[in-house]
Amino acid sequence: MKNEEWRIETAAPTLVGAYLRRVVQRPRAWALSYGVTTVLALGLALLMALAWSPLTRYPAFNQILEKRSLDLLFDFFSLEMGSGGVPWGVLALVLALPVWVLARLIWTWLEGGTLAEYAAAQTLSWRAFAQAGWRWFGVFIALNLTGAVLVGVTGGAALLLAVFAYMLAPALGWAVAGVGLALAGLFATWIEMARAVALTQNERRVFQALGSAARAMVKQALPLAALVGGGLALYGLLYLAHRWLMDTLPLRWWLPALLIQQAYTIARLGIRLTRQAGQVGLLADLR
Amino acid sequence: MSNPKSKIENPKSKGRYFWLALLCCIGMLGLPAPSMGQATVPPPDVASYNIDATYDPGTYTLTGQQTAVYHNRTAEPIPNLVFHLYLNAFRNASTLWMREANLGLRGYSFDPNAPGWVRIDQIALAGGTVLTVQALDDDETLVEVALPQPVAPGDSVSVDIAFTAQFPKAFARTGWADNGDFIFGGQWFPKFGVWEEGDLNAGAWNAHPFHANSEFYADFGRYDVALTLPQNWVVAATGTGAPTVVANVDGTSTHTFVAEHVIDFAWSASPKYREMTRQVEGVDVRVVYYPRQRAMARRALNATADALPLYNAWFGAYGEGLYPQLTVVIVPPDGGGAGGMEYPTLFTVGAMGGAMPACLRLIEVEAIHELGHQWFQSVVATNEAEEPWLDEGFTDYATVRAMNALYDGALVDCLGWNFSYLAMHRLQYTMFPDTSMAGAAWDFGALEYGIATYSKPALALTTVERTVGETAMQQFLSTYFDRHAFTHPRAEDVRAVMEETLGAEVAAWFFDQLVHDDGVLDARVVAIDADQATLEREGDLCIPTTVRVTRDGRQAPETIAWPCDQPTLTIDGAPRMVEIDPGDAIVLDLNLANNRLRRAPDPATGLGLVVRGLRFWQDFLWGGAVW
Repeated sequence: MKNEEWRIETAAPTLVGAYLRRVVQRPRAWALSYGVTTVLALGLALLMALAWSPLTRYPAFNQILEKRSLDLLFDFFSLEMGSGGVPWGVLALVLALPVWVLARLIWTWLEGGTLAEYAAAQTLSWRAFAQAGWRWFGVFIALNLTGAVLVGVTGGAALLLAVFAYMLAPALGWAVAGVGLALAGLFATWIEMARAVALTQNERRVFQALGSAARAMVKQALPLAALVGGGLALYGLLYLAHRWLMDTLPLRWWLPALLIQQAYTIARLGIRLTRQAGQVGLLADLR
Repeated sequence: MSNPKSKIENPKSKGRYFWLALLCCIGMLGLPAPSMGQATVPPPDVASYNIDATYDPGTYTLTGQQTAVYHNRTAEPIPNLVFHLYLNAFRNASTLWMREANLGLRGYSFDPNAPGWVRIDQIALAGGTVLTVQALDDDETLVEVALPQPVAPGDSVSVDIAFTAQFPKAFARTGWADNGDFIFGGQWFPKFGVWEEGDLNAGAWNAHPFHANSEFYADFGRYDVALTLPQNWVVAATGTGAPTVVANVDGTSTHTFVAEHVIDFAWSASPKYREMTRQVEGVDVRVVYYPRQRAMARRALNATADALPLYNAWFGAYGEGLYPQLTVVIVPPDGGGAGGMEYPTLFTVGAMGGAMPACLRLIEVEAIHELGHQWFQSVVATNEAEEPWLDEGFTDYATVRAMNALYDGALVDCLGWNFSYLAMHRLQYTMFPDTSMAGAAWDFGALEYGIATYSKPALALTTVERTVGETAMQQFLSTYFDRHAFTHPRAEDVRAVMEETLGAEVAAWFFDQLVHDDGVLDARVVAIDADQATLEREGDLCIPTTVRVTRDGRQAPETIAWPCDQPTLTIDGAPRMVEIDPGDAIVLDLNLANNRLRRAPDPATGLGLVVRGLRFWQDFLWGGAVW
């Protein structure tokens, strides 16, 4: 690999505002992440819409979706609507898993370029962005799988324990669920930090990257907690506002719904990318 | 056995006559008439009990002495006495009750190693004459006691009974749980049947062997009950006055309860009980619960406190103003068989298990339903055995109304999705719609019983309400409750009130097609094309309805009547959308989704689906990675 342009040249900025500026000023990762996923999602959404289009003759269908009411669900399922034609819905469901795998792979590839872009002193060229993606693709897949296992096992065990604890005492159940959720969040952050460590320290060994990430998390515990916690709080506020707005919109008001939903989606993607830029920045501070 | 009253009184009508007389007197004096919610004139006692019982938690047995007085308020002499011994239904696996119930009730099973029974050890007249007990059924759930001479009209008879009872492990309303640390005493003492006047003065005891589906039927009276238990046990019971507690030298305490104008007496005790209280519209609400069930108790208390004012407003004051207290017993997790049951001034919650998320309102709906029974059966004391729909149906209709008022109808409201209590009834009803509501409890299989007595009446009464409007419905309900409080109305009495308040037409389709018949209805829009719409009505249930037609252009929708003797309806003139029963009044319709149809798919809704689907698939592809 001759082109080493993606390597870190300078210390990253240390304030959230600076991380956000970096994300905004280098919008390639934001646009690619959003664009790739949206194109794939739109394909599946169109297939499902084709499948469901005949159902829109029944106002009961709108009632189920708009009021989020299951009251007429069984009536609806027992309607005689005939069959035939292209099974668009089945096609969407069949394609869902392979498209999901494809999207995850693309995202993993993008993460190499994204982190390299935020770590670099200047905006990367397209070529450097792509090279970083390929260089870290395997390492990030290994880290992501490790994270999936950690989060899955922790989350699953916490869920089971929480249900059992809830039977004994509801407060205990919620406490266990809270601890489990916090642990899952901690592990997810650990994996994110490990990706940033791997890239900024050119560490291709997964366990060494995890070890370095753990040490970095301890050293930068407060700023990292502020970064993650602040992002989480902002995301929570955005979610509530989005949910409140969406609940007031009838299904037929598709344009305002599109604007609100996509603005929300783009914003939370920005929160994630700001957090990643921040993680790179915190690691740079340690050097 | 003499009765100082010389006038022969009919318990079915005495309360009404007292009211009329009182109203007349007040009217003549120029005073304002009492409004609903004030204390009513108490009903005459018919069956009263003075019971002194000691419960041994180690053996689950109870020994009791009871003096039972039956007043003959009818015009005919009563030649004998008939008692229910309900606990004998649980004495082995081969009783009639067990055979019908297949050894269990509502998911709880009989434990053959923990049976229940009750035995009359001795019965004698107040003067000392010992009487003979004769079983009326193989299981001895019903016994007859011959009297040396009939009880004359206006007279009363008093008998002293020594009895012993063993409680089963709780699985069917009554019994013990938690290794004996919990006891619920329901239907636990020898209890009179109901003497009813018949045609041509041929009265008879209205009492049946204990059947699996059957609940109870009893006369109003006064209960003075002294329960002796270990000293550290907390006791909750039916009552209309403050209980007294006396500590005994042998380490027990005697709790004495008084309950007036009630049809039954139930109690519960545990050394683990905690309690919380709240006053609601002048009623002291007390909840007893296990420490681990505090959250459940609070939810039940909140639901009870929220629903009580609604029922007061809709039907009349709780206990017609004669019951100052209400007790809610939260049964422990392994005592769920005793949960979900109503008794005068007391009900139980916990039939559906222990802790559950707040978005599943099973605790709330259970509390609200059992609270409703304080009106329908505890005060309007219909015959639960012979006409179970009268109490369960009105109660569940009340529950639907209360759920609508308190929770926007939602029985489930989880993760942004909801499912209403009314819809749950519709789901149950549509499984077996060819079921009439009328019938004795034992006429139905378990599923049919649930439909005939709970779901269908709740849906039918909701249909009536939405058809006639809330104001008219309110008049019907309050008239029914006021007129029949502290009496034993039958279906024909309900019909009379319905005809009087809502008209003969409504009463006709309600009673002739739904109560006494199995009429069903599925009205649907069969097709719409560019020229016309075709509507079809399937089934013989005939309830008049309307159809709303929206045509192309900017015309206002047109509403047309669809007489129910017209099985099909054709609408010309290029309708864009047709809606049968646009007000959603007829909730008995077997399928509501086919009541409305557009001529063509709606493009805006289609685009809305794409937009919402886009967000769904974005989230799916990101796999939660973007938070």
